[in-house]
Amino acid sequence: MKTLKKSFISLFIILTILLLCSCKNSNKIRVGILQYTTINALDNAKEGIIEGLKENGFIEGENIVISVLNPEADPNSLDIMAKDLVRKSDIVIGIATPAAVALQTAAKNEGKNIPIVFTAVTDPVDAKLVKDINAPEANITGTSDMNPVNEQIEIIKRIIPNIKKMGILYTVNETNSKVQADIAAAKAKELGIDVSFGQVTGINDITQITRNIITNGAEALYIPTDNNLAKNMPALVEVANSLNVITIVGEAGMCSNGGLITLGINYKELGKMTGDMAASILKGSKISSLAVKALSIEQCDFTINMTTAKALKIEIPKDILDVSKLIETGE
Amino acid sequence: MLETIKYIIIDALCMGLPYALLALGIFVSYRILDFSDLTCEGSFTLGGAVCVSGIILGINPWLTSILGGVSGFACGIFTGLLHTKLKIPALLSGIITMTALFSINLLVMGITKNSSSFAQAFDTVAYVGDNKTIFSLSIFKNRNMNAIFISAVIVFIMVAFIYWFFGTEFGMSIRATGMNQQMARSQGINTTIMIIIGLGVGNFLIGVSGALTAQYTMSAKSDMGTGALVIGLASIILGESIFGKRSFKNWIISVLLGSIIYYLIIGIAINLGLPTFLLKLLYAVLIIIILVIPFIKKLLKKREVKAC
Repeated sequence: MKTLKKSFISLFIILTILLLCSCKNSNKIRVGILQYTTINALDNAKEGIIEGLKENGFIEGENIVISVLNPEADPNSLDIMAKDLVRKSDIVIGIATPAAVALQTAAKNEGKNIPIVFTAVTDPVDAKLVKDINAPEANITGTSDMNPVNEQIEIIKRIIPNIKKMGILYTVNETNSKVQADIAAAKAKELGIDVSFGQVTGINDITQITRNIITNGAEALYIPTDNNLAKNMPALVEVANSLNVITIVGEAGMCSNGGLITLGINYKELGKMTGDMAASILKGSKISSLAVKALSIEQCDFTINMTTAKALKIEIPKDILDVSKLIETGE
Repeated sequence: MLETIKYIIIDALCMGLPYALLALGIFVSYRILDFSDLTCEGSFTLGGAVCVSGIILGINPWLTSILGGVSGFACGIFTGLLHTKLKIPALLSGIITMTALFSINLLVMGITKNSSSFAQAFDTVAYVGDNKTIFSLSIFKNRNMNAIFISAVIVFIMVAFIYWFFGTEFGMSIRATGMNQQMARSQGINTTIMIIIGLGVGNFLIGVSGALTAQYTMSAKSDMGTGALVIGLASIILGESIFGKRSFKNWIISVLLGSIIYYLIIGIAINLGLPTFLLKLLYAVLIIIILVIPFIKKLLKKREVKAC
């Protein structure tokens, strides 16, 4: 038992020394970024934030220290990392809803009134981050990545003017997707299009559910910014293309994986906007004066996957084609 | 520096205490009953979901925490019935319950939303927001100390209950069933009931653990149970190998401490400042280091004997 205790103590000392090495002391402003997981959109948002800070004179290594933590969607690490950042930073930035909520909770538990800026949060009111997006009452504000869902649904009508029925696909355990699917369904109804929902539960049923929804009469598919479906676009697109159905997707990354067209948010721009907000807080602006922002529709880009368009032999209206970013994916 | 160590310990207690009940629940099914129960990933989330939905509906947080436990109890009973009455293998019964719970959890979290149609009547997260939780009861000014104290009291009550329960004739029968089912049956113990109730008690603890965790993190999520089994088993084994299992009391306490050690490891790993994608590797390395200590201890002893 004694040796056991000794080895424990020595282990602890080693770890202490390691910790000591990892501690950095400086007088620079400390910015903590908590990125929920690694996907294109969130990576771009992170780069945008750092760029936005830079444009406002807060340069990494010169007058600020940025530490980025990423729990890779693991709920346990998420909470601990959030606490860690809240303690060690002068301002924290959360990328994606779970990260923002974790930072908010951590700040409450620590009793520290630290400014929190969020980005890539679809619905900050639903997530109880703020009560009123125009006047954040506490120490938290940021940018929302609400998709221009209504405009995306309008694209369908412009490509297939006399469309009768469409399908909306999303993963049941992704809240953001559900919010968007509801908006999409309401818009489709307004345009006189029948909607059927395809609710996927994981990666195993994507092919079957896509096929099922198409054989039930859907002439177009709408896929919101759904993490699971974004990762598995190729499987979905293969079914849709083989049955000659167009796919309207939530963001550009999904187009480069085979989705036909999107009018999507530019996450880098969104990140920059967030960086601007963080910078103005650091310069002394009051959070209550900073309303939650979102990109305007003019700041969104059309993206079209020409390979898919050719496979579907579909005509895309020239006015859309002219303003779009065209991408080709090799066979 | 000291500050960092202080915070690592505080975090380990804040997160580790609610998870200690998870470890204890898994301990009941895996160690006492010797039943490989996969229900836990579902019942943990259900406990959290029931608790948070209840809180949003305005029910007293202490009551919803108990309701979280009771819902876990029901899951355990269901798994037990599948196994004993329908003769479905243990692993599969747990998987069936866990799979069913995925949908039920979404439904429970959707209760608080006004949905337009039944097809949309679900949600994947439920946020506590400004509603009161059991951690709102402030005994200490420091919120961390407060959370630790409240969790510790609940854990203490649960442990006392478990210790008492498995000391009664009924509890002893459950332990006997886990040790040797045929023997127990020949002693006149109704093993069917023992398995069902045993699983119920285990999942009751897991449900309470989910409820505490959800209240501490202020939200219930559909994926909060992912990896719960691994955390629980790791805590049990860490505890056993460090603190031993000489007696039943010692064994239970080992399991509790194991969970806190597990969170100490995570805290240390995060504070070492490595790139975050390496974290899981680091967890594994630290766990290996801890598990290898008893082995080294044995080796050292052997050498000492030889040297003599």
